[in-house]
Amino acid sequence: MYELINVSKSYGKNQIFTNLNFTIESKKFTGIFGESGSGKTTLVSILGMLDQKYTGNYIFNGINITQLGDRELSTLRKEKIGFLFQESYLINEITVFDNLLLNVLDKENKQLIKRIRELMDKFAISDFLYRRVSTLSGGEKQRVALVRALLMNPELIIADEPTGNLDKTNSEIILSYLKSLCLENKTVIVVSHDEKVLKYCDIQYNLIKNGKLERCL
Amino acid sequence: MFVRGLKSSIIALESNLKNRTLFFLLNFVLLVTVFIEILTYKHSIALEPHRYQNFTDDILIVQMHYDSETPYTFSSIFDRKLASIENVLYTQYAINQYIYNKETYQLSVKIKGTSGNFIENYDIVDFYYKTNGLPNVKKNELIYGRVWTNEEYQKGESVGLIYEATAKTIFGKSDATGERLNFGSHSIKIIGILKNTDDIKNYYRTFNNYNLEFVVYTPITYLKSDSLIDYSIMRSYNNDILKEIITNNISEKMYFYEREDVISKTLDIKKEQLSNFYYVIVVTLIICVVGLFQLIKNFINQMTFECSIRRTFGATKFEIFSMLVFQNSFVFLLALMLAIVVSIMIIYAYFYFSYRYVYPYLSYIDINIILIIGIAQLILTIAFTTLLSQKIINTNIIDGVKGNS
Ligand SMILES: Nc1ncnc2c1ncn2[C@@H]1O[C@H](COP(=O)(O)OP(=O)(O)OP(=O)(O)O)[C@@H](O)[C@H]1O
Ligand SMILES: [Mg+2]
Repeated sequence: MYELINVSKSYGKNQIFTNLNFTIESKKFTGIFGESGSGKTTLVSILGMLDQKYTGNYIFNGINITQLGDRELSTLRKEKIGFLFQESYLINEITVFDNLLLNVLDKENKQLIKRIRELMDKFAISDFLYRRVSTLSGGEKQRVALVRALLMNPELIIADEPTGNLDKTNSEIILSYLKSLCLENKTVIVVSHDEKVLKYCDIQYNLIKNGKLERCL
Repeated sequence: MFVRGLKSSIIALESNLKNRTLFFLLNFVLLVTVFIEILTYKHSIALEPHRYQNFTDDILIVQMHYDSETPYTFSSIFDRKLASIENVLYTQYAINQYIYNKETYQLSVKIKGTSGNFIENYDIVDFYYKTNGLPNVKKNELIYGRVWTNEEYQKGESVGLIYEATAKTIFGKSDATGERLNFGSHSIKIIGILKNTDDIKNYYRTFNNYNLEFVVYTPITYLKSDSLIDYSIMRSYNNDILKEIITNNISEKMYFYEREDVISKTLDIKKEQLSNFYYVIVVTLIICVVGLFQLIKNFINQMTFECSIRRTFGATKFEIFSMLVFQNSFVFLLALMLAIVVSIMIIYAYFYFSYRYVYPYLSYIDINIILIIGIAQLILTIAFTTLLSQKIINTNIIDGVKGNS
């Protein structure tokens, strides 16, 4: 269970959430939909611990993370959360491999390399491992970013528009893979405009302009 | 914790070194500029008066000695408290110390007036500095030209003999017979070249580091005619012979020592140059510090995105911090080492082409200055990085990723 309790968030005068109470259920595929600018990215940034500038509490599997220090938070981010941004946000100047292992000390870790190969095969980008990111297409980059998010086998996967740049086949592959993760006791949150996502959702929310979340499913 | 941070930084650097090229290059250029600026300025002060062989007679010492058959007798010069010479030498030494911190590029000219047959006799070498009063003697050897004739000696002609090294330095060739050596109010025709021996080299090295000291031997009778020369007289123990020469050839006036004014004038000039030197250093360093700050600021701003991505996937604040400090210091040290090599090369080339004849005497460049600046800059790099990385470290991760910070 990942719970936001009385969370308020604003950018200057632009109040995005006021006293929001929101729970993500574990081991479910949760879809969050909503108009552009409604605050979806803001919401998942808070859930992914990338945004600390809010008031209220966030209970992450029973731990109140608003009270944690940097080291504990970093460890949680590293081990428990996989984040996929709306854009790929890879470092362009270095290779795919270096991007994937950016924070990893042991670059020859067999298990990790095996996992990278598996995931890259799955998303049909295995040829790009040693290419510079700047030479990849948008869709390819997005798939590399997904591999990066999934690499550490996190328990909470947050994907902001994972299918935005992808064609139908690739979208299906990725979504069904994410869906299959729920069977492995992972929790998946997908933010999307994409109709295709709907059919994978166990739970579905609609974020409306004033920062209210409506459950639709 | 620290080791962990260091290790992650090393690995981070490995994959990112190419991104640091610009930082490296700018840093490098900055350092080279500073080194060259400071070092050339420093050397220019030292060499400026001699640039066009325009020898000033600021520090002209005219030594006359009557080459006695028993040179050992000179050892008692200082016993006789001919204090002026000691003072002069001492003062010069102090000036040079003060200004150039051990090294001296003073180009002083010694005119030794001697009687005609000095070649056959001994010259006195470092009677004071090397042997604590016991004179070390050597014999001169003529390799080109001739010694002055009796007639020239009688007339006090402005003819002279110099050492081969002097000839090479001033005229660019060993056989400089027939050339004219102009300095101060003198124009001395070179009629003979004397062989340099290691002794001579050592002499001029050890003699208060007077690396660029030239000796011109002229007939003692030539000196008589020049009242403008600032002189001191080295007395011979063998006073009878000296007296004879003096009564025959030189006016009594030459006994008196008149250096005080010259010395104080020299000091004033040097002080002025010295304050200019410090001024240049300070301005350069300020520019350098501001430049370094900007460099690091830009560099760290460029790193915001990468650091935020690292934070997203689990890097701690400390890891980010140590990565930045380590990378900056590492890149800085690389730039520093390259800058040292390149600036020394450039400086040597510069001196080679602008002071070609003096070049062999530029035996070293002040490494101390380079090291001090290098260490200071390294400390500044770490300090600035620490200061400037706070923003990156404490930024909201999502803002850093999106580039809003
Ligand atoms: N760093 C920021 N500073 C100021 N305003 C911001 C910032 N980030 C987002 N906003 C504003 O907050 C609102 C919500 O932004 P958010 O990115 O969460 O929208 P979104 O629902 O993800 O939209 P989209 O579907 O287009 O991605 C928007 O009006 C946006 O302009
Ligand atoms: Mg968004």
